[in-house]
Amino acid sequence: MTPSIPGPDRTGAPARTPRNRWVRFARRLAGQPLAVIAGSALLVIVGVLIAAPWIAPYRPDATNLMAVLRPPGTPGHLLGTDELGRDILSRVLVGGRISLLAALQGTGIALLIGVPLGLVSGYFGGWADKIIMFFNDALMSFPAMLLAMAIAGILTPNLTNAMIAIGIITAPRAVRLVRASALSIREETYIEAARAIGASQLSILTRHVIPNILPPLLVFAMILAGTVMLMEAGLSFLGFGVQAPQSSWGAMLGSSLGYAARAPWLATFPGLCIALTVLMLNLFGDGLRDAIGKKVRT
Amino acid sequence: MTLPSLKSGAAPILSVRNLTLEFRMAGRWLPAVDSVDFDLAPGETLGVVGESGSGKSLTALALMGFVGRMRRNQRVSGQALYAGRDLLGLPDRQMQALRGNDIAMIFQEPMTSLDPSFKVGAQIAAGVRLHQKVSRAEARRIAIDAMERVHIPNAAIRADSYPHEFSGGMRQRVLIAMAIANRPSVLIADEPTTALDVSVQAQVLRLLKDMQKDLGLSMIFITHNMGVVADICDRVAVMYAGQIVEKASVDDLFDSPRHPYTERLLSSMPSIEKRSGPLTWIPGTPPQFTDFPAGCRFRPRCAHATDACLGETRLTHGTGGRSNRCTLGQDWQNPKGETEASWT
Amino acid sequence: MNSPLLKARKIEVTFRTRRAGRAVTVAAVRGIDLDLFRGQTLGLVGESGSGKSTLARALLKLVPMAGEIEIDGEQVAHLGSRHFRRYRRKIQMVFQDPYSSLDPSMTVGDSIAEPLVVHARMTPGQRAARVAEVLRQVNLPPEVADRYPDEFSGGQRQRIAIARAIALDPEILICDEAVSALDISTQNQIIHLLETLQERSGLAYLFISHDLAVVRHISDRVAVMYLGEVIEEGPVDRIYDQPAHPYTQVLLNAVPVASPAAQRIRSATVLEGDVPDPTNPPPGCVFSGRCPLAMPRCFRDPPAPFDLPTGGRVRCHLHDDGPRLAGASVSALMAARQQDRPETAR
Repeated sequence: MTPSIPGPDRTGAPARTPRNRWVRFARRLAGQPLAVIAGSALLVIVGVLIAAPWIAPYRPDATNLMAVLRPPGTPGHLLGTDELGRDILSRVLVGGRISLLAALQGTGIALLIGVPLGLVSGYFGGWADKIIMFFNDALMSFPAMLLAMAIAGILTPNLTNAMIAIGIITAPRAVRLVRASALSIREETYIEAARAIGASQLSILTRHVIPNILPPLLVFAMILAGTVMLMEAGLSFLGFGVQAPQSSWGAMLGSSLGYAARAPWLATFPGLCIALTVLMLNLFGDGLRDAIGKKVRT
Repeated sequence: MTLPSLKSGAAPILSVRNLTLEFRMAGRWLPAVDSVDFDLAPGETLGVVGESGSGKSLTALALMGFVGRMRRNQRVSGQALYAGRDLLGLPDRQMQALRGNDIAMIFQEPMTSLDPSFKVGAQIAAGVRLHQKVSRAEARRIAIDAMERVHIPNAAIRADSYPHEFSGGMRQRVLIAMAIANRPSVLIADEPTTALDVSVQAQVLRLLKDMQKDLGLSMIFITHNMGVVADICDRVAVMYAGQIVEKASVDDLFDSPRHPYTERLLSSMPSIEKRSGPLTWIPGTPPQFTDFPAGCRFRPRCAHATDACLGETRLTHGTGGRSNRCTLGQDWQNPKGETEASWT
Repeated sequence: MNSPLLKARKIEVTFRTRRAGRAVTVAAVRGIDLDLFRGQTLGLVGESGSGKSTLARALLKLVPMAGEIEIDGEQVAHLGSRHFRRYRRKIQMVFQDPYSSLDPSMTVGDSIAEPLVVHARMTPGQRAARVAEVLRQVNLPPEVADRYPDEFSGGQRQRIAIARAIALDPEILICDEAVSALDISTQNQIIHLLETLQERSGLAYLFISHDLAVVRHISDRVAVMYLGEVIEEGPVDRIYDQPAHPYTQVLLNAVPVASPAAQRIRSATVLEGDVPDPTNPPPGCVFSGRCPLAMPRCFRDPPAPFDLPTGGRVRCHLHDDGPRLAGASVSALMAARQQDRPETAR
């Protein structure tokens, strides 16, 4: 009989594998050119927007009635000026900062509401699940923008209230994602193994369920941020969001309405910025999703 | 070179030579199935055994044209002669006409092989109409007939049931009915009983043996279970790391394994008939096709390896229809002769 | 033999579930008695749907159950989850699927340390030392503690799962199909590891498996389950050599052996039919519907446990009625029946 001692099982695991799963996650992400481009673009966008007050050539609200509606390429005004002679480049930079902040706020509020509810609903199930899902489905069956306008209208129209409204109406999506993830994780053997050890529900939730929801949640947050940015633009366009003298990309689009024919650049640049940023968020989110290697429904 | 088969005299119905299936990884072509040779005689059951990763299932999938065709990172070479035609070189359309008609296949997992949203009778009938020019009613009759043949009780009524309404064993029967409905001459069975309980496994094995007798089927039976091999196979090809390492009649193989891998595999099986000493095992793990060792692929795990094993190995043919890949030669036997100990 | 380490009496598990839109109750485990002794292995065999995994979960109170469980002489079944936790450290479990029983987001070390965090007051340093110690016991280098489960093969993961299960030095280990997903070489290594651990620490195993050959190798006693009941129980050699229940006999017969000549004879007898629907068990003996030796009485009265002179117990009327085997093996009777009906013995 050849081997009687169970020698150390030949560890097939190559030493080069990085230890931390987030590091391995990042490696796989780095293997996707499109995601890398989108990720770097996002970094640049965020960096520029944060630095906006210092790099903007003019103050965004500095009017110059001697130079109204100048087209792009005008000396001193790279992207032209608006109906009050304000520099569009400066306004796009500073307005973008507001848009970004709004996206963060809205996404944050959506997750803050959605994640705990989704966890309760998916992991514990039962009556709580039934009640939460009832309100969730009800909320999702309303037209999102109308609802956001209604909520923002009831509260005083300002950016924070608009983002609360958007957070509330997008929270059901977070609930669904977290619930679906929790439902499938609940069925994993390692949850049963933890129960067999005697781990409490709270510790199972924090040690096993939440860490395993994080990767899909990250993907979801990226894509949600894009959606929220679009919604903010919509609300501000309609006047429910950011109030003058502050401005965001959406608000700039809204105020450009009267000049669409005469000065199309008023709408073009903030519009392009929104489209580009949202596209990058989505591309990066897709890349993250592939790097996780699991199916994530958003 | 043709090997004498058990049913001597009969020309093989399927003759596979040098079947090689390669995958491209990081720019290199790696053989997952390497120079597989075998003949399948009419009416015989050839067992293909091996552990996971031995290439036994891939061999079957390559024969059926499910891998190796139409993919950039897969390629298949060699020859598989069936009724004068080379399956590996056949155009897709002709292969499709053969598949399920002349050569049928059944799989391990009976649930995933059936579409959950269609009644089983309709699924079998659809397979019939794919290959036979018959009316809907006629196809249904053939389907029910096939279900009766595999001993599904109340076949005419059960034909209108959905797959989830059947137990695992009954689903495997449905799949067998589907496979035989077009009267194939070759049936490839890939671990068809692995997911089943032993009592149901015994039923399905008997059913396959009956089908084979009644319909004159030739069968390639892929399994990792040596007991199942002993039950159903006439001849056996043992695969390790993509290659056939030993080929023999089922009695010869269990009686006197001539390749150290076969010998170790047989002697490490716990016995149900008596509790015999401590268990043994082959050290290490079977290699993946990404890192097959050079020379004899079993060498790193073999207790009898010599320097001769570093060179290329070839499947050589000995007496009594036996073939062996071991460099120690055709007549190698475990010096201690422990293998047959437990079975008398 | 002294008193059992674990004594289970009248264990019942009933599930409420929906089938085809209707609410139905499934009695998955029905009135099972079980004794587990220190340093011994009780093999639990049965086909899918027999309730063997559910029974294991009932013993750990992972599913709602009724009945009595005595661990080390203390009644624990009635305890609420908070108080039952104290007993969990004595009874641990290894699961079938080594790919899903370890949390992919935790390092191997954290997974092994989790029971220590839950049950033992230890400093992180003490925990790390214990993790290294149990890793050594399962023959893995302590360095693997920093890695994640997906870097390991099935056999290595099962070693990790065993390390985690023995971290608290339990007295009982429930192995639920713990080697079923592994290749034979790996399977044998894990079995050898389990045997070594038992010799070293006197662990008691409840070894659940559908592989009757493995169970014969590892067990001291064996219990055979069918449709939620233990229909036969006894010393391993008695069960395999002189089965007293027709189901045990046909189950043993259905296992193909690696000997073509012997297998050709064995495969002559095949048990027909499927395991019956657990929502609607037969009124008499659970096996009556498929039993080749069933008598009219078997369809009416559930058989009471019969103490066998050869060791163990059986629930079968053949021993107290009809042919009155009175404890003798059922195999002779089955063989005679086969010869009477040659058409079924093809």
